[in-house]
Amino acid sequence: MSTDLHRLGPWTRELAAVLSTGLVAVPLYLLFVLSLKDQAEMTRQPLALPTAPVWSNYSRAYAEALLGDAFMSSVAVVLLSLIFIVLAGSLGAYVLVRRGSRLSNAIFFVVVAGMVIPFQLGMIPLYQAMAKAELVGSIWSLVVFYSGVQMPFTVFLYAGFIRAMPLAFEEAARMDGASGWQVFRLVVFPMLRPITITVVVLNGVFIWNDFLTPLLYLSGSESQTIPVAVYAFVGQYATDWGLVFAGLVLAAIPVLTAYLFLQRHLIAGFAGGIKG
Amino acid sequence: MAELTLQGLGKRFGAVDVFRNISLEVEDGEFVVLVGPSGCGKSTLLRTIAGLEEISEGHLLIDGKRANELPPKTRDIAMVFQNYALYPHLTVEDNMGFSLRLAGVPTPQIRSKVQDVARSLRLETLLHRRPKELSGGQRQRVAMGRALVRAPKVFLFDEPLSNLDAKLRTQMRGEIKEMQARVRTTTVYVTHDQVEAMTMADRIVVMNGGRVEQIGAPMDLYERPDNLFVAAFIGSPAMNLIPGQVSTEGGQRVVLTDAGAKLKCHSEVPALEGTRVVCGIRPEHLDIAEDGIPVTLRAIEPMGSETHLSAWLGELPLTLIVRERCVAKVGDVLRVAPRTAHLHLFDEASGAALRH
Repeated sequence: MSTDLHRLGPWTRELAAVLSTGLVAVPLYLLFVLSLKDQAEMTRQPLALPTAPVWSNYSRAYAEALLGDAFMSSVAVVLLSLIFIVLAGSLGAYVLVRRGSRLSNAIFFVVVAGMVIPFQLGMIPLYQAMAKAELVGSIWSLVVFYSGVQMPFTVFLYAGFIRAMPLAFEEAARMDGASGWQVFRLVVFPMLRPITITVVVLNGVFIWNDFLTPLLYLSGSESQTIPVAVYAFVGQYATDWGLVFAGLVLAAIPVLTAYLFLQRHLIAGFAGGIKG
Repeated sequence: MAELTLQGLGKRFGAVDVFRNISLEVEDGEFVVLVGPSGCGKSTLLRTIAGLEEISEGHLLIDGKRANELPPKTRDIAMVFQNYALYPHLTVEDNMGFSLRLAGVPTPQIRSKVQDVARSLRLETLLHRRPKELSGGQRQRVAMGRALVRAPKVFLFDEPLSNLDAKLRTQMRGEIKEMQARVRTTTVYVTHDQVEAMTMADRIVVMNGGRVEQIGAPMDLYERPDNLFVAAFIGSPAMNLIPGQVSTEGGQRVVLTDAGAKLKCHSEVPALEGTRVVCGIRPEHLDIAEDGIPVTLRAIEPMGSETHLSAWLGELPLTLIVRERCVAKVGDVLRVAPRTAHLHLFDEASGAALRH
């Protein structure tokens, strides 16, 4: 039986789209609605709209979880990681793709094969190495971690995009007098803008939302990121869920805002990378 | 401006020879066109001159100095690519000034040079646009402007008109020729279109299968092709090629065609009796004559100033060009006679021209 979407009628497709949107929208609705309730109302009627919205959940979450500091830590980790991921990933992919030798193909394969290896396998030895390097408790431990873990996927995305780029641009730059580095910096990297935005958004969202790694490396330190800071409201015996959800809403706002502005480029970048 | 010399140039990819033993001297300021069918090696030859491909054998000299090992940027060569290769993230002005910025030329000088070249190519109002906002012809002019601004020793063009429609191609041909005549920069131009080659070149290099078939001025190639390939490739409509056998009748050298017709040829044709040959006659050198050979008309194409007639000589297609209006109809039998002085003979086995 064919599952070709085009064979479905327009109303069926419409219904499918509405159901898919609902699947995504329901958790967001719950997140927002529950962030404005106290514990009693949450237990009594979790799904309904709040009868008397508790806006103080937000101010309390911000103050008690030191979300301001956590926000700065998250921003620092994301920015530093993205800078390294984008620069090393784009340059590495460019060299591996354009060199085209057996060795570069082999290296590319090894790098991309890293995508299938779950990072949990290396969690303990990596922690030990970070501890020896005295990075535990510092945001640099996260920067090093994310730069490594996200590199295979980043290289994969960039490589696909670069393969689809006509060589003539780089040849024209060489004829115009550009060195190898200038060709990359002045011609190739600017042309990687669509896929760079994809890389930034996908990696940025993952790093921003990651809980386990910051919990491992920054627990108890002053540099906690937002997910770890919000976790402070989860107690062993009791949890103030209103504060938890309010904290999560505050944490999601920057990511959602960035996505709203960048979604067009994200799709273009993904399409170009996959085509390559 | 510079002389360009190719001495026994060859290029190999692994065990595959793309071209071999290419020797050519391009004079200072000359416009040379490399023409040939797809896959003949002309673009690869151009790229080896540019330095984008390594030379496998032979020597490349620019102004008498060996340039084999020089990287592209030090050869002082500017290239216009088939798809223009305009940097999409830069404006027209930045595209044209790119090489000068890399060379460290001060910004006011870059601006001034770009403005001068833009004016000569009618691009002044487009300087702040990006390539995607330009038409095909405008992009072509920007690509030329980017090359012109550098004032290089040599221009290289790699099929720059192949992406344009027919009308624009004709217009841009004239603009390129006019630009080159103005700056008198040594130019090597690659195309698969023999009409472009004929109309633009000072000299044409006809290539086929990695070899040079003939080098000469356009009309020299047209009137005196050295072999069958050049005869068939140059000229539009193509030369009529009629296979047959050399014979003698009443002291007159003739060619008995496979279709049964008899063509008179020059008495001093250097071919033995019985030699298999191919007669070549251009469409405009076939006249309608009462004592000519019979052909059956299959199509009439009035072009305005002349009429192209397609006919069958047996099973062999022939093309004639007549100036006067044709009153015959498709299916009619006409009698045509070739002008003996313009009849070419080629050895059927080797393809070489047999000249007296």
